[in-house]
Amino acid sequence: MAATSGIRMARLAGLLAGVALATGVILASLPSSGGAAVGAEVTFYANQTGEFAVSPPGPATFIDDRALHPGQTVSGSFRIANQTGVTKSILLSAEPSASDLNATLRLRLASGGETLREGPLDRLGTPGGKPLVVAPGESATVDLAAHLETADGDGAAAALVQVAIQFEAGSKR
Amino acid sequence: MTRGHGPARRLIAAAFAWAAGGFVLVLFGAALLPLAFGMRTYVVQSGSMTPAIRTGDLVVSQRITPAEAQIGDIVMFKDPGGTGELISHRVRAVHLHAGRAYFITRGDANTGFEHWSVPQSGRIGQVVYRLPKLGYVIGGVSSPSGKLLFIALPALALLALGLIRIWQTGRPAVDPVDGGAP
Repeated sequence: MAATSGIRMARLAGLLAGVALATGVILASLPSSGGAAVGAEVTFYANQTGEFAVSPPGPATFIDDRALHPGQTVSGSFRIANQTGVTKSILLSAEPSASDLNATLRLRLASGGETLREGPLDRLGTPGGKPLVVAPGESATVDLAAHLETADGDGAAAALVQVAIQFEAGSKR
Repeated sequence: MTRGHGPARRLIAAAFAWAAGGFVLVLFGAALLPLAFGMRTYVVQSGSMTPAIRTGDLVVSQRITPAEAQIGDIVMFKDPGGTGELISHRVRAVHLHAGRAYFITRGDANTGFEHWSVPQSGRIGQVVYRLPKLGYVIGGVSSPSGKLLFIALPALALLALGLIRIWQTGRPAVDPVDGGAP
């Protein structure tokens, strides 16, 4: 009687252990989904023009983060060279390929430690801010830091956005 | 010295056997039960979604409308390249316009994107969960050698067992008094 009871208990314990193990395997294998798990894919590039050469050569990407999570910051820089014969005053803007991160991706564009433009992506679409002055034949480094603020929606945090840094130049006399 | 170990061994063997049975039961239940609820299962053939989904995994997907797909979801769709293959990749952008849903998807391990669209009234698959490496088992069972190993041989063994039992029950019983002596 005791042996029968013992074998029943062993079977029950084994069955429960097997079920628990399989359930654990399935739960541990759940594929990550949603924006918070995936992270946003953010790419920044600058196109060179007849007036300005950029390094790395445009349209090379100078920031490529495939998993930028809310609260994280990514940074990079490029050099812009004035190929004209006159000093140029350059205004920068950022043009995103999609609007998903317009409100949540905050940019800071700076050169030589001086902030040229700062704010959320949707506020930087038109040229503005402090001009970057580059003498003929000279170049300047532009530093960009992008901070993804805590996203309102889960989906926005996994958005795919490519941002082109644009230049609008005026001659400085 | 070894006296008394027999029952303990039997208990351990029983526990392990039932643990293995429970493990297999849950895994196959997780693979087969969703079919009763209109879900589908697929064996993953490539590593484009590694590490989220690996080659040989069995994925279980449910059908959703394109509007229900969220960025970050893993969805299943026909290869926009026209090969007819089903692809499971992650939604990176979705845009609804003029009755169609336009998707940009990419495998987590890939560098290239797919651009494709479906009517908003259509259906796509959404991966709900995966069963690691179970696709290999199912693929193995459904192969010719697998069918022989897992279906034909056990069936033959059962048949042989049944014949042996029939043969044994057909034999005259031994008299317990005289042991069957003449």
